[in-house]
Amino acid sequence: MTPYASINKVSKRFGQHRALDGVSLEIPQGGVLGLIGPNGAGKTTLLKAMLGLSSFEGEIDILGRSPRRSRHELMQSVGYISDVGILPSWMRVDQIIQLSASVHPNFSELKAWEILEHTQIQPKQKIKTLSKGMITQLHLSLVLAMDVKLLILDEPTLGLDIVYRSQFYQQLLETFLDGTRTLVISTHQVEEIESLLTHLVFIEHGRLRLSETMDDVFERFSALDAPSASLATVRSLGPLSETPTLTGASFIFDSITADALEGLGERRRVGIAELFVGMMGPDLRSVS
Amino acid sequence: MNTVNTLMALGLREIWEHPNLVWRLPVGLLVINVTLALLSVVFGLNYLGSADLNLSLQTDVNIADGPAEAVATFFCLAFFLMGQLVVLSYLLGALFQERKDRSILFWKSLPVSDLEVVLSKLLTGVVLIPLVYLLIGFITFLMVALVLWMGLSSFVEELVSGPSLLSAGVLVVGDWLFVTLKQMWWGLPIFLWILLVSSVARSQPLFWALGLPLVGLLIESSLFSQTVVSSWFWAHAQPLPLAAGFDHAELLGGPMIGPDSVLSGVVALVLGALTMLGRRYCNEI
Repeated sequence: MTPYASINKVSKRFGQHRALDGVSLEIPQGGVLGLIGPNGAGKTTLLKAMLGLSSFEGEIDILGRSPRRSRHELMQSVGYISDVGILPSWMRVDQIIQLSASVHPNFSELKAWEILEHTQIQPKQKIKTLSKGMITQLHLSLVLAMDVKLLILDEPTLGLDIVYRSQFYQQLLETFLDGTRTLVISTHQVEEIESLLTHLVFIEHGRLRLSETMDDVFERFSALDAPSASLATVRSLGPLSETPTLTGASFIFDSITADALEGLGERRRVGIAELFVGMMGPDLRSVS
Repeated sequence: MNTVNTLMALGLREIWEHPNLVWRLPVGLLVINVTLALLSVVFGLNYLGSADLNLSLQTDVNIADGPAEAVATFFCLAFFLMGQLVVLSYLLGALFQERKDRSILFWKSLPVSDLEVVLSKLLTGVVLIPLVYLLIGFITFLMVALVLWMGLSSFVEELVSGPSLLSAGVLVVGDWLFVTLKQMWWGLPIFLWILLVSSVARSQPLFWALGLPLVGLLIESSLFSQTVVSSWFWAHAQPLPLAAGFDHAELLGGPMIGPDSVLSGVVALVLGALTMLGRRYCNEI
């Protein structure tokens, strides 16, 4: 299948700082791609380049179009929620829905109202009177009412409480994902999207550190909870990372056979957060 | 979605966003003037010289050159000038505010081109607002004239007829409609300059909109000992009635197409293209 997006050797500089450094990536049809990286890694810069919102070197093709040259045509098939509440605060809820329906050929006003029915948001409310969580709900209802193939979410739940975050992902699962549409999501709350992901991308200092399907990630990386007695043996196998625990340590291995770890501790599936911390180096102790 | 439908939707968005500038301010002025007219009738105030109208609104006065025309001209001119001030204020923030509050990221997530956005802002500022102000100015004249006429009719026996008053007003507003249309073209380079600044300035758009032409004036006068370019710019910065010295014949006469008009069009085209590029490449501040 032709990928929805092809990113080829994309670089972006801000003065002396290289925000993106030769990033190449393919985003397939269908599935959920998680873009994970620390602050300043280049996640937002990459997403903005994909949306034609910033200049860059290299080539980007989204759904057969250049985002820089054909942004407005592209946005008929692409939805976007950015990392901050960017809905115009002076607008009323009914106005923003009416306007979206007027300018977007694939927008269903009915669907937007159906989604909003399950929230506390009132049609005549001004956006500036809504809480941060409600603004995110409204924005999500707008992009879900657009019949788009690719939805790009940049830290969509940043600053929301756990109830809103849970509702947000539940809504996405129920309304958007149908096997053919693709969701690209950049977030700090890795654990919340772990179960949704089909593809995983790690980015650091503007470079991709990992780009795999989740099946490949679980096949390639292994986690081992080892007791104190076997620590020396485990360390000799060259783990990617080691995190002390109450009874010993947790290790992550890259490309190691199950036989090699046999009898050294409890082998389990690697978590994305621990893999991220393990790959990004010893100084990084939280996904931030 | 065709461009006309998109422009209509974007125009509606401008009215939603700027109700005070687009219609509340002129309607407020209408209410104030009609209230003053009512007070003048009830309490005998000399609003707009209404005490003198007592004599001059009678049938033996030539209405076309008389007080009705003067009152209509007063309202048309006042609302015209107020409208022009509002246009400058509107254009200054039109493409700046969406970058400042970062809502530009939402607007750019919609399938609307930069050209359509710039056109919608320009048409709202240059066409819609002046026409709304002229229309409300005319309605103000009609309502004030009606109130004064009704007030005077109780003690002036042979008062001019209502239709004659209306026709005098229509003749005047017809002239001002023509002036308003001429002003759209005359002021286009300035309007687009301000819109360009609004699309690229990182802060203080008013400072840049006025400051750069002033610096240009200083440079031109000191380097070339003349101010041909700057004088042309500042001449167009004046509303047409001021530039024409309020000369009725000059204001209404003169060809619409001439070397200066063509130059205005060329400058506007260049500034318009730059504004579109500014909107495309200058994102949130």
